[in-house]
Formats: sequence, structure tokens, C-alpha cells
Amino acid sequence: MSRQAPVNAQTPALEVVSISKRFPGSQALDRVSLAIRRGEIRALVGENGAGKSTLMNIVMGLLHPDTGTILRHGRAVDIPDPLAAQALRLGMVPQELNLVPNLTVAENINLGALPGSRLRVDWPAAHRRAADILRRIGGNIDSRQRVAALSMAQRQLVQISRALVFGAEIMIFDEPTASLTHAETERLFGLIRDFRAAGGSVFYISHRLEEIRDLTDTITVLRDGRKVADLETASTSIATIISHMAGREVESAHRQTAGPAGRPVVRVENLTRNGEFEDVSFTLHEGEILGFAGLVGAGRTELMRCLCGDSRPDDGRVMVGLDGGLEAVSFSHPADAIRAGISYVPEERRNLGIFPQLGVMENMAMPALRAFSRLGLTLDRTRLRRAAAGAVRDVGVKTSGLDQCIATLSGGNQQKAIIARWILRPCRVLVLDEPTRGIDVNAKGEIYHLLRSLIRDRGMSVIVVSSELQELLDVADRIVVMHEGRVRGEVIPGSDTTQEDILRHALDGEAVGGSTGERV
Amino acid sequence: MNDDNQAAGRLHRIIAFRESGILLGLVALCLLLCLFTDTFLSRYNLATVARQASFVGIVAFGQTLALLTGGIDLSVGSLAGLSAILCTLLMTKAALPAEAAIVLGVGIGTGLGLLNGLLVAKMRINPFIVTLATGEIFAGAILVITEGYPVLGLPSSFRSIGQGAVASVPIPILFMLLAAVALSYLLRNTPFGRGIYAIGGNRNASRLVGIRVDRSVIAVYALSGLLASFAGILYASRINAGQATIGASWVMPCITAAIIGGTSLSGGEGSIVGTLLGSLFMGVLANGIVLVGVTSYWERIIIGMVVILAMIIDVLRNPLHPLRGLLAGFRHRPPGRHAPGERDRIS
Repeated sequence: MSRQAPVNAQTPALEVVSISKRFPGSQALDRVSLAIRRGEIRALVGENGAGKSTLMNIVMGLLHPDTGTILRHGRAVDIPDPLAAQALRLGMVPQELNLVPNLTVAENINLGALPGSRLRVDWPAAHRRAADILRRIGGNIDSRQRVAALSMAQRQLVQISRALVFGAEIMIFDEPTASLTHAETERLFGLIRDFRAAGGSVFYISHRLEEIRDLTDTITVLRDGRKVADLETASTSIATIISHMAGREVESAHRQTAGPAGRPVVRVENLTRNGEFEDVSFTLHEGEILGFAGLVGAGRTELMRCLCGDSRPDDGRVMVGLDGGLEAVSFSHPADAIRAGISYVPEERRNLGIFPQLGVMENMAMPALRAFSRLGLTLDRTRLRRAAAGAVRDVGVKTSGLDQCIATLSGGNQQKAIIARWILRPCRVLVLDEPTRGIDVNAKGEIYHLLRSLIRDRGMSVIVVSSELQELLDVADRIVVMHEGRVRGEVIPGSDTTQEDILRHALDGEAVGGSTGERV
Repeated sequence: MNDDNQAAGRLHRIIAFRESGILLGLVALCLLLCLFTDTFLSRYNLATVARQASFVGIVAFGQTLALLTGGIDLSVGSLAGLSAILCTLLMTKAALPAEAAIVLGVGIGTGLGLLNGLLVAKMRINPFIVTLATGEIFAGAILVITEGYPVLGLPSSFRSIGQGAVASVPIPILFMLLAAVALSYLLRNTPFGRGIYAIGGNRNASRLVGIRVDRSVIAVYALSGLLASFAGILYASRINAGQATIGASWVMPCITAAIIGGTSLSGGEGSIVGTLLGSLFMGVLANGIVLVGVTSYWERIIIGMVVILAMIIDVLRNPLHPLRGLLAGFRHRPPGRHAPGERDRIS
């Protein structure tokens, strides 16, 4: 495929015209048209299920539209597979990077096109080519290193390099900042802006609307498979974007103030796990939502997994409130923590949360099976089914039936089903790690309400780890801020508390300002 | 949405085909044999087929448990043989009554399975390697103990188990059915059984919901050892000798029976009923080859081809398979070219 110079400046670099795609049971895309010029960064926003990824997968040749055409520089093209997309100089950086961890950086960048002959790879050329690209994008990475040894940000640079090595002129970024730190995000934005300055076009998919405001030129909003708006970023407010996404004005989750703090239910004293977190102390009171803020890598997830029995601390202790007072406990397995009333809703729903082959009810009931068994031996399905139906109703899981395979539910409904586990197997302390990651705006609000109702109706106390500062300000009664494994401070959200108050603790030395990495 | 489609399709497949596929195959094979032979339906022939299938079948149930957790047990064959040899020696050398020797033999087999489980769960060694190695050790132990000679001179009370019948149904078949019912119940209706599916489906999530994964895995390998040793002893009883070759050819057939019965090699999917049907299918196939007059040297070639055929049918049921797309005249996305992890968040 020869490189095509634009016929004239007005011809879009890429245009999709009236693309439709139907999956059994849903219209994923309904006559969607959009165009991108050279030197344009276009945001694609929409709730989960709006059709963003389907559209981009069609552009990349991973899916095939039922109807509609794709124009490259004004000429209709056929994109049967990713190789064809590559030949049209389209590149993608998927959310879950598809690199081969066991191979070197150079091999990953040249994957599928290693220089040399069929019989002999020209390794010096492969490394030279990789090093050239990496230098161009400012990645200080040794091309001989194995990808497994790289940080997430470095891996992303390798993925970007792979697209660039094939001369990509149009790049698709799908949630690229999900696991990047603030500084890494800024660096990535610099890179994307450079790419634009060189005439490249970028599709940028993100849930973080602040990023979209800072980075993009134009915004396309999708909802339920249709395009609902094409906006100029400069003249658009975040509230406008949200209202287009949701189809209505979403009331910002307004604070419900908790009553006076109850008795302590968990007290953590000087808890330390070498290399993960150090000397962490805090107290959770009855009926409280305690937030944990911090950047990726602050040690919050590690701390929570230790608190929930998944790892053992090297030092310090955990005390759990019983009727008489606090009692020191030591967990050697999550089952111990669960028995002590501390349950965990993990961050990585797919890897750590769901049982993808099982139905909704079984996913919910897994920790409670013994409780729903006669003599703890044989399942009482009638009783389980009744309780599960009640829990599904209480938490508002939208499902066609208790036996529907959980993998077919949306992220928000999966998360509600996982929270419902701890209704069927009641706990006193629910620890949620990034409970709304990858969940659309409306479902987020429902989950916040759910947490409050768990406290109100079931006497639970809640710990929420979140990277979304606004989320913590909205739901938490107190916020513990961590940085590099240590507690840096505590913030009590009030009407005048701002994200900067938290960030000051969380960044600890890094300049505050610019994009905060906050997600809406 | 795409994964809605994919998973819904898969769900449909699990409900509609997971066991009915092999059932259909079995029925079709039996019909063919009825049409083309006049001996297949004879009571003697059917009893022989079912009895032959029952030994591997019982072993295959244990194999199914191991496969469901995402593991595998390659030691079952020589574990069955070693248990049978030790059991028969207990009767001849230690002059124990048959019942006591059987209980001890099964106990030894369970212990050997427990050893597998400990190495897999506690030492975190890959189950393929653990059981490959222990299988070699057990096979070697058989040779060291017997020097290749059979253990003979067994009491008649022992022989009557493997050779006997109740209401003209051979006892090994009854044991296989009993094991199938008990294990099906275990897998379907007990927390332990559901936990096995959970572990195979998502090991990390299982731990976080409080399942003692290590204990369950150890128990599964112990159960596999129990079932294999029982099958081995039953076979010794059937042939009335502690043959050094007992179980030597069981490993591949028992895995095959589980796989064509719908058990997934990657864990979390499968059933005892499927494995039972798979074992019967394998038995009928071997019988049919003999009945239609093909020399039995061809048996392994035919079985191998049948397994590949079964897997091709299974794969083609996947609506996203590219070959199926070609057949239907549509282009579908090629497998493995989409971003990993896309399934759960594609929008």
C-alpha cells in the first residue's frame, strides 16, 4: 500500500460513513458516521456499551460492519483484518496491551516484521529500528530488555512504538491512562501532542473527562450505538459532555452526611509489609465510609489485601471490634478475614472478582455456600434461590435470570452482583477497591447509593479505595491519603474541600496543577 | 455486546450441547452397530462392553475432577496398577482377607493421590509435571516389587467382586454407576463440588471469596487416587491376578473420555455425566471395531481420529470460529487477533 498524500486539506484522513453493526440481542452501532482530519485529536466518549470499542475494532479490522463504508483520504477501503489496517497506517494502543512479556522490547516492536531473511533474523537491525523509534518518542528503554521487566508506562511506550514502526498516521488510544501515574500521563499527552503536530490523527477513548478537556480538539459522544453529538472541545463544558452521554442531566452524587461516628470496628496499628506499605495506622468506625486516596503505586491495594487476609503483614497488628471491645486478629487466608467479618471486593473484576463460566446466583453465593447447605454439606437450592433473588432485587442487578452467565452482564451489574456476595454472606466491614472502575456514570451513582444502604440497613462499615478524587469527596466520611506506602494525611470532606486538598498529600513534592488525573 | 453475544452463545452451547453432543454420538454409534452387526445388541456383548468401559470410566471420573480444577492427573494408570499389586500382595503374602486388603489398597491409592495433591497445591509444581513424575515412580515401583511376574493365588472371595454380577449386571458396572451418581451429586450439590468449578474458573477469585483452594485441590487429587486405585483393584479381581500391566494403558483413554464428554482442559467446565458417556462411547467404539471385523490393530488410529473429529465439531460450534465463517460465506474476526481482555469491556 503506497503512502497517500491528502488530496487536499479538507479531505478527512479517515471517515466512517453510516456504520451499523448488530450483535445478537443488541444494535451495537446504528448508522454512525464520523471523520477525523490530519492533526486532530478526537475524543470518543460514551458510557460502557455505547459502541466506542466496537467502532474502533471495526476500524482496526477486528470486527466487520453489517453496513457502512470506511474512507481513507476520501477513498473507500476494505479492512478485513488487522494487517490491512496496518497497511492503511492505522495503529491502536488497546487498554489491555497486547505485548508478549517473555520477548524483548525489540522483538515486540518488530513483531510480525522482524528484519532479515526467512532463515536468519537481522538482530542488529531489529535493535537499531526499535532503539530509533524509542528515542523518537523519548522512551528511555533498553531494546534488549524483556517486556515483563517493564513498568506499565514503559510497556505502553513499547506498544506505541510498535504502531509507529509500521508508520501509523492514525492512532487509537483506548483508556491509555488507566494505570499511569500523573507524571506518566503528562508525558503521554506530550507524546500525543507531538504526534498531532507531525500531522497524525488520534482517536482518544477515555472515561476521564478532565483529560479529554485538556488533550483533545473535538469530541464525539456515542450513546446506545448512535452518535449523539459532535462537539468542539474548546467550547464544551464537562457538564455538557455528561448530559450528552447520559441523555439527561445527571445530578452530581450529593453527599449524605453520616451520623456521629460509632464505635471503632477495625483498628490498624503500625501495619507494615516490606516493600508494599509501612507503618500504616487508621481506625474505621461503625457506620462510616472511610476513603483511601493516593496515586497508583501508593500501596493502597496491597494494604487492603493484607487487611483482608490475602497476605500476611511483616509488622503491626489489626484489631477487630467485637461486642466487648477491640481484639487483635491475625489472618492467614481470606477465609479467616471473612469469618472475622471483613470482606473484600477487589479492583480487577475480571481477574479477581467474577467466575466467568458461572451464573449470577452462583457468583453471588460462592462465599455463602456452606451457610446455604443442610448440615454444611448439601446445598439447599430452594433457600439459596430465594435469598439470591432478594439480594438481586436489593442491589438492583439487571439480569434476565439468576442463572444468566455473569460474563454477559455489564460491568456495573457484575460489580453489584459481587457486592451482593456480602449480603448473602453478611459481613461487618466491606472493603472495596476501585469499586466504580470501568463503570458508567449512572451505575456509579447506583453503587454509591448501594454503599449507603448497606450501612443504613445492614449495619456495615465501608472502606473505599479510589483513584477518583471526586468520588471520594462525594462518598467518604473521612479520607486517608497515602503516598509511597505511607499514610500522608487525613482529610475530612466538607463543602469547601477540594481535590487539591487531597492531592497536596498524595503528590508529596510533585507539582500540583494541570490535569489532576481525576475521572468524572 | 460482542461478548454478550459470545457468552450467550457459549451459554447456549453449554446448556444445549455439553452432554447431549456426546449422547447423540453414542446413540448414533449404537444404531450403526445395530444395523451392521447382529451381535452388538446381545446381552453378553453389551455386558462385556459396559464392563470394559467401567474400569477406565471410574478412573476417568477422578481425571474429570482434576481437569475441572484446571489440573491433570497423569499418574492414575500406574497408581491403579501399584495399588492393585499391593492389594493382591496383602492377600497372598500377608494373608489378609479380601475386604481388608481392598480397603488398605484403596487407602494406599488415596495416600498416593494425596501426595500428588500436596506437591501440586503446597509446592506449587505444575500438575502435569508432578503426576508425570509420580506416575513414573509408581510404574517403576510395580516393576521393582513384581519383577514383572503376576501375583497369583488369590482367595476366591476376591475374585467374586470383579467377576460377579447382581441381577445379571456385572458388579464393576454397578460400581461405576454408583461412583457416577455419588460424584455427580458431590459436584452439583455440595459446597466442595461448586468450589471445584470455581477454582477451575478463576483460582484467584476463589481464594478471595474464602475458598480454601489448596485443601480442595489436595482433596481432588486424593479422590482421583482413590478412584484409580479402586478401579485397579477391581480389575485385578476381574482377572483374578495382580498383573504388572494393570492400568498401564488407562491414562490416555481416561483423559479422552473426559474430553469428548465435554470437560475443558483449561478447567471450570465439564461433568461426570459427560465423562460417563465419553467412557461408554470409547468402549462401544472399541467393541464396534472388533464386531465389524476390522483388526483391532486399527483401534488406536480410529480412536485418535474420532477425538480429533469430536474436537472439530466442538470448535465449529463456536460462532466466532473462522472456518465456520468461511463455511457460512461470511467473514468473521480471526481468533486471537483481538486485544486480550477485550471480552469484558468491549462497548
